[in-house]
Amino acid sequence: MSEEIELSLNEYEALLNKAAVGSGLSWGIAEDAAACGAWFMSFGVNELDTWIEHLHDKRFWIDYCKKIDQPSSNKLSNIFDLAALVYVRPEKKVQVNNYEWTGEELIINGYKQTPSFRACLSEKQFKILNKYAYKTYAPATDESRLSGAGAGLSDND
Amino acid sequence: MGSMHQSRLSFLRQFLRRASKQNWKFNRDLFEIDARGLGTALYRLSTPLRDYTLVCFSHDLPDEMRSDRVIASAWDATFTLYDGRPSVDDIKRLNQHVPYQEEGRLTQNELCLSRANRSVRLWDYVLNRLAEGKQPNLDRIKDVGYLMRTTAVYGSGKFGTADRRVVENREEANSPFQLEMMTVYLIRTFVMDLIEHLAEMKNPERAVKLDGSIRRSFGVGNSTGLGMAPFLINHPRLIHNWFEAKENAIATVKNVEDATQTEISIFKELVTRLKPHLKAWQSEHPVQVKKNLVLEKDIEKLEDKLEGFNFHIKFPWKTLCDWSEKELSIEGQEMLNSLVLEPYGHLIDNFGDQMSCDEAKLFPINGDMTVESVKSTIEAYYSWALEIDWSDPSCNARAWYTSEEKLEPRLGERFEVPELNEYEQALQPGRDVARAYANLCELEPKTPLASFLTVYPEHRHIIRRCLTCGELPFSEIRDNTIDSSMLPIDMLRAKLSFFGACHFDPRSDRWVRINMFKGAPFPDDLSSGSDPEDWIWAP
Repeated sequence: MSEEIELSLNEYEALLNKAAVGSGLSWGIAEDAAACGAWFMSFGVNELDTWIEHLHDKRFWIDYCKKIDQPSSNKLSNIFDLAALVYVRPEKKVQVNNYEWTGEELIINGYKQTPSFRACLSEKQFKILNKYAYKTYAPATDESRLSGAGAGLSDND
Repeated sequence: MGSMHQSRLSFLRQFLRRASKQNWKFNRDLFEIDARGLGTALYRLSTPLRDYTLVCFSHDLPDEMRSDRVIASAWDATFTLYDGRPSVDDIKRLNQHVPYQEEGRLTQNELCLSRANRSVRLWDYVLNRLAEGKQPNLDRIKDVGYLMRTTAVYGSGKFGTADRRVVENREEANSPFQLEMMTVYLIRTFVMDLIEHLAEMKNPERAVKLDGSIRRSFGVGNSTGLGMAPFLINHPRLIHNWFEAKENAIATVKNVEDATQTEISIFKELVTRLKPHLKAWQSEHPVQVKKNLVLEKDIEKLEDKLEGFNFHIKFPWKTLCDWSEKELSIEGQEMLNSLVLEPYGHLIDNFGDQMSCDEAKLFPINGDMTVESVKSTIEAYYSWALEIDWSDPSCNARAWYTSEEKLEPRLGERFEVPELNEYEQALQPGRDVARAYANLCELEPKTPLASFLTVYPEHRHIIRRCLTCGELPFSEIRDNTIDSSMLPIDMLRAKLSFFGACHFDPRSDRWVRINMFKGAPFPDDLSSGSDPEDWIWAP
């Protein structure tokens, strides 16, 4: 069995953001996609496999963002639609399939989910996210090591 | 931004004020360190409601491995701030992670992660003097001002530490960076204890402790690199609150109609500290050297002005600040802006409570807004960006990117290394606004914003930013962050002044050395009634 990785929720959202950019989503859409994934995780709900499946579907995330920007256009068909609606209208009760938002709590299959500031993901999921996130990092060169970070003078005194 | 100074609202000032007011208790729970400097120490601060413990791991680092760069892999001392009192098992666990810093993993019980290096210029000198039973020479230590320098202080969920959301409702942690300030403050105490301890181990018969006043003259150094600069761009709502609080404080003092004799005396006494403070402000960087020369003249001008100044006129502080705008450099004006706040804690300290911000949620985009209305917001708030000629290579010279090696922000020359374009981060609001504006102009004015963003998803981040910043006048650096002449050290200085740093010493255009808590009372001093405010502008 693979090891479970625990991140702070902040780290998790930042990693999702980078993974989304790395997979080709625009900066702004990546922010919303990451917030969506982090929202589920803030209730201890790991919807990461589905989230990752959608990573290459730019249209999916453009539509997702439109549902946030114009909540009235949001026809609830999947759990991401629920997340989008709760994001803009948290006070509103909403249900999609077996997921229910009461205005304060997330209930799945009748069970209340416990809020958490930690993110637990499988090693496999963590590796996939990092694989995408790494696409946002520029390969290091000696030049960048020196000039990019601004070293040059002695830093040891 | 590149001329700002610490003030009463700075985060370390807020921290000390709260610690003193609430009479926080201090305990050194453990200090087991051998003659080579290897071992563990625990420093605990107890607020009325809870404990915080700085867990210190002291190492014996060969000189050649000592580097302030974020790419370093070993340090003289490593630290974590533990939420509560760690058990023996906790300390064992932390010892397997904290010394490795970014390579280790922390838990929600840890609030900050930090490390520090000894000052090569001072450490051995001070150690040997103490071991010989002598005090160090004041002039020699003034040039440096610290015995150790932190090279990073991480918090808010980084490397597994607790998210800000875990602690933000605690009164002592609500203002920005309060736990980071606590960490650095306790590190300072540890460093002083460590050098005295090592001197005693070296020469038990003759070694002495530092004289109280010399001890207090040491702060904690800090090296801050480029990594801190994007913070100012990435947190517009938070940054707005910082600047607004300071501006409100200055406006409040300028509105004081009559100054009392006590208020005048506090101000005048502080002015006498400026010259010695400046004398101890060492820098070799041409930009700072020049600024300090001008500042020296500014201080003389201020002293001359005060000679004949009648404080008993109406609105004396406004009169002085108005005068400074005509007579002093920006550096001098900013110094005065901070100074006039000092006598007015009773009027302005409460602005410190408004400097934090709930950033957990993204700013919503109202998709029903029209393109016309978004354009108006941009024209009103980003006219400076629309006026820049972005086709001029010098205006679009740099690219912010993240290095694969250490996952840290860097700044490169776009036209020299074209591959960087592929990795560019969203840290150039000016250019991105101009690009979005050009596309907005292509659409019918009544088009809903949501439709625009469906066609141009690449502009989503900057549209969100415009809508956020359009409501918050201090949220945006109204300048080009990728211009060939942009100096990242200016951004670093602004942020560090809000931390409460002094003696800014740029070491290049993108990293700066500073001092924190220099002259401040130690925890023991605070418990015995030492004034938490009256140490600033220390030499």
